[in-house]
Amino acid sequence: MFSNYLKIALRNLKKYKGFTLINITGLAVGIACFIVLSLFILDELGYDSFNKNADRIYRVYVHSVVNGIETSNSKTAAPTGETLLRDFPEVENYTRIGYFEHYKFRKGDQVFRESGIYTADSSYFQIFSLPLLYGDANTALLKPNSLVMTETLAKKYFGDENPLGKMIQIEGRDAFQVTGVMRNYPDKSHFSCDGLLSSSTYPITQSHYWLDLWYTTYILLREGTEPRELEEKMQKTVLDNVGPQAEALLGIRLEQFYAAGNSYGFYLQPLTSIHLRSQRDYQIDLNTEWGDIKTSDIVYVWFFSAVAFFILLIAVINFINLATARSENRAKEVGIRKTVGSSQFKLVGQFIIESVLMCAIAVFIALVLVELVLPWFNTLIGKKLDLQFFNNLATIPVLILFTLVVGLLAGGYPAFYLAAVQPGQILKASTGRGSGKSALRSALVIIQFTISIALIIGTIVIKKQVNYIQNKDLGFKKDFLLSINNAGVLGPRMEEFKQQLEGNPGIISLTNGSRMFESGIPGNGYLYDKKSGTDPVSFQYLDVDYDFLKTFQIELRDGRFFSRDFSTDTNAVVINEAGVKDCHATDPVGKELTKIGERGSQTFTIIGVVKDFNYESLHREVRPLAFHLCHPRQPASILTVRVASQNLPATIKYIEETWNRFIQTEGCYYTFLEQNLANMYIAEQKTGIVTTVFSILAIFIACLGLFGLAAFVIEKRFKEIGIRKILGASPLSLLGMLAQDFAKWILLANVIAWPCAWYVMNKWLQNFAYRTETSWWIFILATGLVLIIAMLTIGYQTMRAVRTNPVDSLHYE
Amino acid sequence: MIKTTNLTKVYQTDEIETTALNNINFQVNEGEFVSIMGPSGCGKSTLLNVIGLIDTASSGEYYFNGIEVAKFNERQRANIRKGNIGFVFQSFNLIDELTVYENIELPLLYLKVSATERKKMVNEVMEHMQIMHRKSHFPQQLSGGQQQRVAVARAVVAKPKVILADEPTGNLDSKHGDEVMNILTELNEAGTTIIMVTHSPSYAEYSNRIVHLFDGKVVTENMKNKFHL
Repeated sequence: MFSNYLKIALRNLKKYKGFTLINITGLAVGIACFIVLSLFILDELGYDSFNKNADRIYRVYVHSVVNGIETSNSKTAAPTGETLLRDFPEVENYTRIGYFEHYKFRKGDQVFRESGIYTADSSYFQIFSLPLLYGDANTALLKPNSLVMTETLAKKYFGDENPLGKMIQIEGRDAFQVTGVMRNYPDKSHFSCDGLLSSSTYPITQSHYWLDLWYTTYILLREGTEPRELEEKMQKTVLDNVGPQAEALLGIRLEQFYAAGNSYGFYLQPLTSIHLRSQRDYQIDLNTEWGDIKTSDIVYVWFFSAVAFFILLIAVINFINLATARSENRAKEVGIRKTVGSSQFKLVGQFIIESVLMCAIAVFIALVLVELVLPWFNTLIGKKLDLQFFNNLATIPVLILFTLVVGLLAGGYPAFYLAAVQPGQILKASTGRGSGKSALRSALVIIQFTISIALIIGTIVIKKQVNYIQNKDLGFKKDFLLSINNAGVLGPRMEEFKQQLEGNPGIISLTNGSRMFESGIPGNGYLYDKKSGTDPVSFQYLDVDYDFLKTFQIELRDGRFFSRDFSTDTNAVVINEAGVKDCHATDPVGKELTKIGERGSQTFTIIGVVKDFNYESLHREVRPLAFHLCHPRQPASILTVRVASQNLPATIKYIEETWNRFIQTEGCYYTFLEQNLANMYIAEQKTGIVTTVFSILAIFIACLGLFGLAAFVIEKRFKEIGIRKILGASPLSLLGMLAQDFAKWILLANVIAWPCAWYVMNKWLQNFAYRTETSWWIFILATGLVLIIAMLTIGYQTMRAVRTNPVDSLHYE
Repeated sequence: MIKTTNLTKVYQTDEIETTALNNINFQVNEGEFVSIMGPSGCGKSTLLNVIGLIDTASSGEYYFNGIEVAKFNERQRANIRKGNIGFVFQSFNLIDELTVYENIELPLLYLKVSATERKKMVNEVMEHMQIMHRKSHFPQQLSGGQQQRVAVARAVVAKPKVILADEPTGNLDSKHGDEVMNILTELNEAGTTIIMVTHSPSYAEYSNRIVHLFDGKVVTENMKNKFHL
């Protein structure tokens, strides 16, 4: 019997070639989209799960409300881990990651600047499951100046030989000894670096000062520990340790600090939530994460899950619609099978076998498609997705299950629908009658277009926002700014280098300052107009030179900027308007601003106020900013050059040549500032591209279904079209008549799509402090686009019918 | 009014070439009532369709009101059809989804006749055909005779110069057949040119002239002018 079903199924696929083609193409494209997006989502969800104890590892973060401003900092004070381990039996182990500077590694007569070396406690490898190729994981990071390199770094300096115990000469400091080589970090690790240096290299890591938040602390909890309970107990650690030091610094008791509405506490974030939930669920300031941390957002996972599901749904709907629409063609077969004794149940089985077969073909084509597009998709999103056909045992069974499920979903309803036809009805039924309308089909088509329209709206909003960000006035002139990112290596020769450049007519102005437009801009508590008190204001701070304002062309609002004419300016500070606002200052120029610090507070005189400019990504509003006149810390230093628009290549050549005279060990690593700015929105840009691609595919699949359905409806109304033509109907009026139903569906789809898309896109826009609007024209445009595409699809079929001689349509009967 | 010269229609399928009309020279004057007779497959309906401009000839000339229309494209043919030619079919060819009134109104809609005018014209013709009481019914709710009367009503509502009737009585019993023939005669007497394909010699008697077709050729033409009776 099965072979009979299979035979009939295959013959039917062959007989209705158009139908088969539409169905299989739609399903295959839909399934391919689903698989690609599933791979993406699975990849996003799997971060850090390679760690054996992933479920017991937590990151300690500091949450505070100071002066009404809430912040969550992923970095903690040096003694945090040690204290927690000592005070709480629930804590089994801890480790810290820190960052101090970049190092110049010597290899023969070459010197390389390595900026990816972080410090870690010796317990690092007991917490994280990173296998060492060489060395002892327990002792590798114990002694000062011990370095564990990643495979890649080891290869760079030692080739294929075993580097264990070898020394690496570092310019300007003690040599490092290689005590281990670890495998490269897995792609799905929230943190990665080129090498780990023992924390003991820097005695300051043993500090007992609680108010400098500079280390990421990870703790391993004992099995069965309830993290919430531990969090509660941990607040005592705050009172006992942070309390006295804060009192000494602010001159007030912690109780007073709390009474003023402030709070300060330690909390735990599960390791596996860091990648996707840090900002959304834990409100952790991205600014406090390490520079190259990979963060994403669970929202994108939800968003792409929805897209994957909806695209598959569109494809499945095509299948249901075309199969039920076509049912009359098969009614005769059903009738005969029933009269010769088939049960309805057997017929259902037969039709389901057909749809599963079709689905299997589609899955096969989809897999080929996936293999073809994955490399391209990977470059697009910067991932290494892979189908894992052969190295994951689950892949093939999952695909088979998926085929069965989709086959059942798509074929289930049509099977019952077809098998329910009564033999008597079939004899009476005159095929070719009826308009081919069905409430279910209409509803399903409406769903398809709702999805398509919503996706288009989403695409346009994302594009519009990315565009808005790129063109927003940031408060400074962003074009023709060149950033020399490794200017720090100039060290004491910076001034000399600057003078050399200033002599070139192509260079208008240049400034040396600390890094902006990325995460990791340092912040500190400041007190306005007093030296102690309950209400420190959180400022980010930048170290700059005299020419900062001139180079960036930022407007001065009040007072003056740093000037060579005032020798006292090293004790001066310039703040931005946001700072004035948060300090509740009315006339800040001439007032004092005190920077709270471990080695005593420092008081500066405010000499000027600059207009707010966006020195961070537009995800957040401009925060208070303080400028100090001093040489930036070497790794944070960046030389920004404003160049003339004319003779740009010559100017760049001059800069490079000058650089090469100063520095022989490394090249001049420069970028255009606009490019750095764009880098802050890579996630949005990628989302934009991915959404565009999948929206187009969704519409393609929906139109494929519409194409089939239009063909079917027109076939049903062929006779009517003929009669109307004989009576004088023009092609346009026929097109109008046939398109009417489809247009009605699309317009109905808008009613559902508009509010849904509006809601979701507004939610997404909330991620940005500066955002575009979801303007009305976007909705009209999306609807118009879908309407036009759908009409073209229907139009093709209609014109075919309209062009035939009227008499043919009458003969058709 | 209608004149064909060497009108030929060849149907081409994959392997077989069938000549449905073979050098037909045929003329109908204004106000005539012509019957076309002949065995099944002799090309009667094809001739009627080509004359009605709902099918094209393979070669030859066709003059409608003195204009050569054989090479016209679909749009041009549609323009000639509109308002000039009315059709009545054996199988009625009513649109199932439209009521009697709406079916009859259809040609007027395509002629862009104003709503009030349409109403007047449709009511007039329904009155005349005695189907006023069926105005809101759908075709399936009517008997064959009634359906054909609706079809005739639809064919004449725009007052065309020619009515082409393809076996209008073929699906009707004799009572209803007579009724339809009487209506056609009446229309002819009022000045409408009528060309009718029929199998029935007795209904052919209603016309002025009978043209016999055989294998796509005109074999005889009997003038059966009423004035001779």
